[in-house]
Amino acid sequence: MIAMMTTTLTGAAIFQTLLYFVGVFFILYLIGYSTFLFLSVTVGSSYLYRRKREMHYKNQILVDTYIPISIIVPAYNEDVTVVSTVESLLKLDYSLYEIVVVDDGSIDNTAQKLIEAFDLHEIHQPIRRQLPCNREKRVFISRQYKAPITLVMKVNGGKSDALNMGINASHYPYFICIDADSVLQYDSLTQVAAPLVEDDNVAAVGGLVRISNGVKLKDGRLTHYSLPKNTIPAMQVLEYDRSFLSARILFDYFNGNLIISGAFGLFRKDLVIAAGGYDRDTVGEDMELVVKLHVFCRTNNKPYSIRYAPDAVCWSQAPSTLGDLIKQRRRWHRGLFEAMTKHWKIFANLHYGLVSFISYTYFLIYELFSPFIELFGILVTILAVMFNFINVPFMIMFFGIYAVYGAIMSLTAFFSRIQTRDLTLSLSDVIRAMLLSLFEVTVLRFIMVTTRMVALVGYKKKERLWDKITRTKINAE
Amino acid sequence: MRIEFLIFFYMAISILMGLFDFCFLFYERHRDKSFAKKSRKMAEVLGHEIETNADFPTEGHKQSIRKKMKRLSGLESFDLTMERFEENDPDKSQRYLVGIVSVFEYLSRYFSTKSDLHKAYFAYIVRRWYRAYPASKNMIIVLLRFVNEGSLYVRQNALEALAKVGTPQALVEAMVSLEKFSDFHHPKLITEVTMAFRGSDEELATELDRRFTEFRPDMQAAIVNFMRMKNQGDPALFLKLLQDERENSEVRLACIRYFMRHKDSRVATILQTMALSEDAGLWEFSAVSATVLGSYIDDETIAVLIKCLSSPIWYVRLNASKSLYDAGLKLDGPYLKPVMDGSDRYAKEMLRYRWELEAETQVRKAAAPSDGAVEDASENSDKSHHMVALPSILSRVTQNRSAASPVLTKP
Repeated sequence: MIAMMTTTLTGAAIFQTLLYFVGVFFILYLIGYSTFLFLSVTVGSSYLYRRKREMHYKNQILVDTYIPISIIVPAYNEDVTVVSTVESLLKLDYSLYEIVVVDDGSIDNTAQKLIEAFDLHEIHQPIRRQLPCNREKRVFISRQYKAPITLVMKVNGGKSDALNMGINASHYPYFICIDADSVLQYDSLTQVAAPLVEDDNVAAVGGLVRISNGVKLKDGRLTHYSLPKNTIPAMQVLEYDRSFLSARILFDYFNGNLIISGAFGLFRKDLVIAAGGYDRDTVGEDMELVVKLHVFCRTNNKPYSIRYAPDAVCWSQAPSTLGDLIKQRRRWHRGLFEAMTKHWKIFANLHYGLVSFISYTYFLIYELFSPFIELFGILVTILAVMFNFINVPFMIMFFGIYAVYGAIMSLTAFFSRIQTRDLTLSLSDVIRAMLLSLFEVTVLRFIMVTTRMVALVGYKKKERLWDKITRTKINAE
Repeated sequence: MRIEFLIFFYMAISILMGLFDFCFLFYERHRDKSFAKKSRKMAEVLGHEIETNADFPTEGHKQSIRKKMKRLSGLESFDLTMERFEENDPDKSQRYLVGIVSVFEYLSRYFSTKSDLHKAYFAYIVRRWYRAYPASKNMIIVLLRFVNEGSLYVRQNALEALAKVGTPQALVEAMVSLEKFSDFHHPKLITEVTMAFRGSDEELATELDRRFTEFRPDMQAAIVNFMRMKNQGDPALFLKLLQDERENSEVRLACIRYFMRHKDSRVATILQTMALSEDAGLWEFSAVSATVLGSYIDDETIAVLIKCLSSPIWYVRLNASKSLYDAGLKLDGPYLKPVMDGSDRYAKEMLRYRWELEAETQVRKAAAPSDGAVEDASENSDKSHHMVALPSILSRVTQNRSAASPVLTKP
């Protein structure tokens, strides 16, 4: 009996000690995350305000710099949106660019719609194979618009493969890749090219991707802004502002961005080719390419910078159903996993400086491992409650504080962006934003955690899939 | 430390930031109203003076606007108001602006001690509304100081102001000091500034020529581009630079392009040799030469360009095909038929592509004669200084990088 009691007491002591260390770990984890969130939102917001004032008083490059840019639009079964996308690209306020659409073996009418809409003519264009990709079937061009249009029809090979083909078929030394369901704002090329004249060593520039659900655009100009009526994309608006806009501005301060969104990014073509182009065996080709550029430039001791241009805006559709959102996040997490594991040598490597010790570590702990850490936290909490080792009211209060904190961060980033972009919101949108920010932190976040946790279940290497998300026409004239 | 305290602290800051957002919103609304009021007042003051004393604005008026224009909002409302007046009555507005030159002189001293934000905006306003040409010595000194000390935007706005109101000597002095005191100022911006120079191109070219050796290579290349576009410069100097293998490749490439417009019988043979060079490290020279040879068409050049069609370098083949097309040759003509009937698949492929592409361009041009946008900007058009041959763009992009990474220069 005494032996049993001793064993039980020893077990309880061990469990309590374990809980203590788990508690310390989670405190450090939370301090790290809260500090990061706090820094990114404060730095991001203050940057946006400062930049707004600077631009208002002509502290910007006002002359046309005539940097030639190829816009590559990979498309797979995009017959609903591809024509309006190209139409919007033809209205950009920029003097020297071309449009290259790569139809990756679509089984719908993507190519046909383009050929008819823009009166494209077939041409025997020899394509210079600087990057590996599946072979082209036919090439069409048109020279009758503001910018030359090229359509390359190729054998299906996935998005990375299509992007590599686009790079091969393009003519200019810089390229931009955008999604076929996206619309660039009229001044986006000028803005995304601005860092190139500020710094001679720019390897890539990320633009700001904003959610187009709920907005109206005319000739690439925003004519009406409101939060999307649908809750799922509305919550993503808040999430984008908090997690992407602010964090990327912060990372930009030390050349530490590891992601340039596939929906809108500019790259120096010769560097991308030298680094091997898009990895055809990954689903997260956008992140993989940026991480690869860091590795390539640092390995070859090349001075470089990867910049973020929040004034360069691309409007993109967000998934409007939970199913589509889960699919998208699943793909993102797999892409993250592939990029992080492929370039693991960055981890704790002095040669990579802050890219290693801040950016890579952040993505590793707070993005890649976070679902598992958070699951572990939930399990430990349940066990602690079961054995009465936890103060439940305090736990609830703590969770409440954390939720309010996250919501306030989202709202700060959201309102800073609204404010610095001279947008106006209706009162109902302001109230919705407040409620949704709480809902996003308390509900959506956990759905996303679960999604990311199971993202790698059934993961197959060399999976080359396109997103299968329901497309609708963007409200753009 | 208890984590909840830290979170409370962060939360408090964030709430303050949220409050700042709302306060800023109200401040902006108030500022908009206040700005509209100021602009109305400025319009009244300027309108009255332009109407009554356009040629000789009174001292009282000058003092009044001097005070207003010390603030950024005052400069802004002056800018917007003048824009309207200039549209309505350009002649009177010009006379009025000449009359208030001393206000700008005074403000130049005032803004020279302000922040970069103020300096850049003041330089912008000077470019738009300062009407003394050439500018006073004091104004030049202030603008030169902006070029030396300011941020990128201050430098660029001051350079643009100098291009508008400065003498050739002042602008070139600014460019030289930019080289000495600034880390990096993109050559494209320099080319734009020289192209926008308001005074005599010839005098500017003479001054640039005189101080040419004081510039770094990238700036020298920008200067050669300016000379090319403005039909200035000394061909003998550029020929010498072109032939000097120790010279920077960017400068030499700019010199090669110079001779596309400025034909010189001494250059053809040099270009032919460069176009046929098998040195992979010099592929840019071969590619640009293949383009420029289009301006030196004779039997010998055609023979060289046909050989270029078999070059292992894509851009050499691409540019040679363009030059051959522009020479008016036919695919089934005596020069090109042997190529089309021959065994070099790459040469045939490139020729066929070029002829199809040009046919498409011609059809479009015929269909839309007013639409100038059908030019093939990607290749060899020399119609503007921006539409340079692709290898030259690439070379600018890769300049100073070749040694570090051989793979980048591989054609």
